Amino acid sequence: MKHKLFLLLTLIACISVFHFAAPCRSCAQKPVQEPSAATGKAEEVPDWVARWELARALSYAKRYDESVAEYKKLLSERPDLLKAKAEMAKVLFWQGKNQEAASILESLETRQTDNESRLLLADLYVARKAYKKAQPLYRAYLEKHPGNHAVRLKLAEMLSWDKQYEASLKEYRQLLAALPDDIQIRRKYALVLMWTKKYDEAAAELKKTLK
Amino acid sequence: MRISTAIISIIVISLLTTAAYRYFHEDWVLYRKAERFFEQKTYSKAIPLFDGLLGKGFKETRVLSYLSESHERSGDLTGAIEAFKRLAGKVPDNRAIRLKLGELYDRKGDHVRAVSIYSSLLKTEPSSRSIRIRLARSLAAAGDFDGAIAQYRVILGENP
Repeated sequence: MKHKLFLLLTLIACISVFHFAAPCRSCAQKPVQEPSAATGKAEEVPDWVARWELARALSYAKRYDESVAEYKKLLSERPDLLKAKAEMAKVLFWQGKNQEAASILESLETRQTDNESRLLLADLYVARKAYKKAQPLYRAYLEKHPGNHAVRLKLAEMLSWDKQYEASLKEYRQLLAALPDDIQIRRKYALVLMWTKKYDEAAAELKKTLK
Repeated sequence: MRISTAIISIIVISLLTTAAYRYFHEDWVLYRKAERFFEQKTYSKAIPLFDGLLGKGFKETRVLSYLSESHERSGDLTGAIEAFKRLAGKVPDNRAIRLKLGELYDRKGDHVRAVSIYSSLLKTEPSSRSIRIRLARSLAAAGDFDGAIAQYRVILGENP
C-alpha cells in the first residue's frame, strides 16, 4: 500500500513539473519559416511574370519602344492578360501614339479595365474631341469617386467645350462648393458663365477672384 | 483518514513542486508564458516577456526568432527589423532570415538596404531566380530602373 502511495505521489510530482516545463505544442514549429518566395515553389518564377515586370520597368525608365516590344512578346504568350494590354495602351499614350492606345482600350470591355485605364480612354476621347464617348466614362468614374475634383474638373471643362453649358456649370458649382477658394476653378466657371451670356454673374465671380 | 492524508499530501507536493519549479526555472516559466501569448496572437503581451528573457540571455536565438515574428505580426516593422538584424547576427548563414530582412526593408520602403541584402545573397546563390527577381523589384522600387532591367534580362536569359 505504502509503495503504491509513494509511486502515485512521485507520478503526480512528475506531472506537475512536466506541465510547467512542457513546450507549447502549437508553438513547436519554429516561428521563422522560409519566406514563401524563397521556397522551392516560388523558385519557379515564370518567364511571363519576369517579362511583365521587365516591360513595366522599361516604361518607368521611359524606354517606351523596348517596353512596348516586351508587352507584345508577353501578350503573344499570354493573350489573356488584359491588364497587361491596358498597361501597354498607357505606354503607347506616353509615346504619343494616342490612336493606337485608344483602339487597344476600346477593344477591352469595361469590366476588363481598371479605373485608371477607363480615365485614360476618356482623356484620349477628349483629345480626339469625341466628347460624347468620354462623358459616360467620366460620369461612371465620378459615381464611384464623387470626391475626385480633378476628374470632375475635366468633365466640367469637356462639357463646356461640347457646348453643354448648363451641365458644365452644374459640375463647376459642385466643385466650387467643395473648393470655394480655388481661384482657377472660379475663373473657369466665370468663363462658362460668359459663354452663356450671364455677364453679371460672371463679373461677380471674377470679382471674387480678385480679392 | 489515510485517504484524506494521501490527498492532502498529493496537493501539497503538487504545490511545492510547482513553486519550486517556478523559483528555480523562472525563465522557463516566462518563456512558456510568452510562447503561449505568441500562440494566442497577443503579441503586445508576448513582446515584453521575450524582451525580458533576451535581456537575461535566455535562449537568445529562439527568443529573437519569436520576438522578431511578434514585432512583424503586430505591424511594428522597425522593431521587427531590429530583431531580425540581431537574429541574422546570431545565425549569419540562415538564408530565410536574410530574405525576411530584405522583405521587411522593402516593406518599410528602405529598398537600398533590401538591394544590398539580395545582392549579397546572390553572390552565394547566383542561379536563384527568386532572389534575383526580388533584387530586380527592389532596384525598381529604389528608382534604379536600368539596374532592375538588367536583372530581369538575366532572369529571362537575355543579354542585359
